[in-house]
Amino acid sequence: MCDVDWPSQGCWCCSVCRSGATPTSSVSQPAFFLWAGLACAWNIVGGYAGYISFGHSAFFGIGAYAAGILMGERFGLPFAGALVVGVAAAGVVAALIGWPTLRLRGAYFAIATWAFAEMVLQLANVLRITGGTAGLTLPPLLDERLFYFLMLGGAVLTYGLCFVLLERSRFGYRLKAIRDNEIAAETLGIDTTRVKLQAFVLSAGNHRSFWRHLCLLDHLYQPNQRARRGHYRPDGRHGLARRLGAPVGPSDRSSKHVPGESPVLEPVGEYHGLHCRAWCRHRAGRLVPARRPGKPLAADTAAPGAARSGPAPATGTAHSRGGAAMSTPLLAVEGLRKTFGGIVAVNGVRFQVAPQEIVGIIGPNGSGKSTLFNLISGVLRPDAGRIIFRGQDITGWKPHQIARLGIGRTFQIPAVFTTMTAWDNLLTAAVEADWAHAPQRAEQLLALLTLDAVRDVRADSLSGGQQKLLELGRVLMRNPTLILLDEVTAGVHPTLRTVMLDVVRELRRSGTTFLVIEHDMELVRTLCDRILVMDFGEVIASGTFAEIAAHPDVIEAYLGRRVS
Amino acid sequence: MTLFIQTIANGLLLGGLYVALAIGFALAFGVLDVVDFAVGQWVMLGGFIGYFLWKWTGIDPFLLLPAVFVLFGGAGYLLAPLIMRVRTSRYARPELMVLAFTFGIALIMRGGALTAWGFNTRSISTGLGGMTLQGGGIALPGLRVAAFGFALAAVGLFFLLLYRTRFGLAVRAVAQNKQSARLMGIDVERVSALVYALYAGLTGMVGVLMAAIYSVTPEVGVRYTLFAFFVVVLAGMGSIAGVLIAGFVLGVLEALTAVYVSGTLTFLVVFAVLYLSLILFPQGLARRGRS
Repeated sequence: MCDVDWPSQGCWCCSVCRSGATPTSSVSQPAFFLWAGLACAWNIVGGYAGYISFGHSAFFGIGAYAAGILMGERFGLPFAGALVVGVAAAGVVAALIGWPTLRLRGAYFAIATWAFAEMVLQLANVLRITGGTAGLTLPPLLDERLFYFLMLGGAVLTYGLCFVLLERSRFGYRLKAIRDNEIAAETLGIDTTRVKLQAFVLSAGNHRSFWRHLCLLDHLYQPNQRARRGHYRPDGRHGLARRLGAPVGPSDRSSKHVPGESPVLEPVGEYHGLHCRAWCRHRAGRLVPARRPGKPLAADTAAPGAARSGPAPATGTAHSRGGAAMSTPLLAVEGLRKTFGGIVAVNGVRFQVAPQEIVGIIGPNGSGKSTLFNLISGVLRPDAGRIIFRGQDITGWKPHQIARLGIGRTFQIPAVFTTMTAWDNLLTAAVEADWAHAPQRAEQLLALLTLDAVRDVRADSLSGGQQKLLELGRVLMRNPTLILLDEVTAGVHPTLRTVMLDVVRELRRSGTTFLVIEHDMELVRTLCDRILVMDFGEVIASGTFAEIAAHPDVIEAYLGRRVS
Repeated sequence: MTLFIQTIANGLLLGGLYVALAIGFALAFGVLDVVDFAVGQWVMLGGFIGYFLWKWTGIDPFLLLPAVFVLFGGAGYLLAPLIMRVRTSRYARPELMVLAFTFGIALIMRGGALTAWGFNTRSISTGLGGMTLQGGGIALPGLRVAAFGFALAAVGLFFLLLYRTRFGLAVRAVAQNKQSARLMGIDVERVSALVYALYAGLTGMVGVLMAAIYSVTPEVGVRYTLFAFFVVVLAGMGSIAGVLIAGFVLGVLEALTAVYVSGTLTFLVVFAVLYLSLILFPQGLARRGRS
């Protein structure tokens, strides 16, 4: 939705040039820039991060009103000062509101932001300091031509900033990861809360100053007007809405200062709604052709000499591999317990994993294996018990903190980033790790996992098996010390399975430890040093394959009592 | 004290209508997976269409309700495929794109209504307008009691349809798992369209009654959207049973605020409560069927 869309960018530029050719006294063109800038700013949170906010008009208004009040008789601040304070005000409010609101997901977030915006609108209507429903009146400040060019400059500046900031940067990748699969993003080390808040405050602050110029020209602030502006924000697409909005919307307004009258603004709102709809309907999710792989952004300092063969750990990894002689366990789980309502999913699980071990976890469906992984990786909080990793108690830590410590995982149901290509999926994994060498590494992994042919294919178009491979690749990008593989070979072609197993063994030799959930007994037998058997949330047996295969409890769990 | 009881009574009467409003909305959400931002605008349009039908034919609005139901049902049936198309598209987060889509629909409805009918408020008068039921020191306007009765009947029929008919079974199946429903031979698209039609028709009827009790302008849409969201969020998205309670909670809250705080602040208070309940209970207050 928000990838670089060259046709739209081109249209945007054309329309800017067209309107730029003749700055007239019409208020329409500056308004066009206003909406362009608003849409751009909103896109940071709504388009890139996928958090559709209907409340950004509130920030627009807060900034506008703050500046307006400060420029009024009471305080008499000069324009520049009021501008700065207005931006700050909007940003501060966004930070305060964003913190609790961003905890909500999807539709709830949209509703909450909408509620917030409407609350602010109501307050503006009621409070005297904002002038009630009549709004604030200010003396005109700027000559029209100057104003026009200021607006044009502001729009271009905002647009440029957003483009640079988001399109190919790590920040942009983080946002897109959050949009596509927030939990997977967390397990890759991305601090989703912080990133979301940054995006929110950035987009709110962006909404402010330049766009208030329009109000200044109209020298009339009205609560309704401000709200309409927010509602005019079309949606996340870069250029399209502006392209359509420009000729239709602003031309409805008379060329003189007739700003606050709703009858003029309402039809405009209608047209924007139409564009909103039309866009959603006819733009059938077309994505720009994926970028050529190669240079994501920062200078790619790839030195040919550093090329490695195979999946050996990349240089510069932050995780130290413990020597093989270490006697302390890499991972220790004690008394872990997790219930969901009345169901006890994990019931007092206790085990240890030594460095460079490959431990298999098997058990019937519903025995708590995946829940165990969720607990270890921080996706779920245990109700009781402790998890100790390299001597550190990581119980209750957030997933991204655990990921940064060196634990990586795959998911039973592939959690790839659906709108990104396979290539981008791999790059995103390195966003919180070795970004400079990421393209190299991604190339290697693509080749290794035979995903070369589909590197530019959208991840949700890949087959189930390919997605599993992609997930494995994603985990490997980060070079974790401990890798949790959740049925990673399910649905994968037998020949590729061998490749995967070779990768695992190779990595183990280089110092990685594995916890592997599998159903394929043959695989478990050949791959794993030790096996834990789970049933009803408990570890019922532990040992080598031969030992557990003869264990009566294990036989009973799998085959039933009569057989054992 | 009697003022208090009177206020509660008023609140409960209106709450019935809010239940009717929210239950269609909740079902549409459950079946289509769509949070329809245009719900309040359906109410507004219902009020206007009801008004014009009443003006032109002179028939009492209560008798016009079936006609409005059919009209709005038809409109909803036609609109549903478009919404489904956005919902099942390949955007990032289609469930949120459809939100923006319905937001756009809401804007169109509101803008269109303003363009076509202007600012003036319209209200419908019914034969029941003058009647009042008195008892125990409180007076219940006949119109509101009748509307409450309608709401009860509508919700009752609604539940009957959902839990006692074959169609209702199909609807519930689609709400739970579209893929499996298809495997059972259920035409998911048609069921979804019919559910949306049902929701539109029901909401339109509520609009007629709102126009009779209060009045209608193109601006009231936002108010009813807020109310629908409030009820559904409090009940927990996907929880149909919770809607019954939450609707009455809203009615009483609104009435109490209007009487004891200020009429102009009801909006603000309801918004604030909605926002706070979302923040404080991100998991939903009641059993949450689906996030």
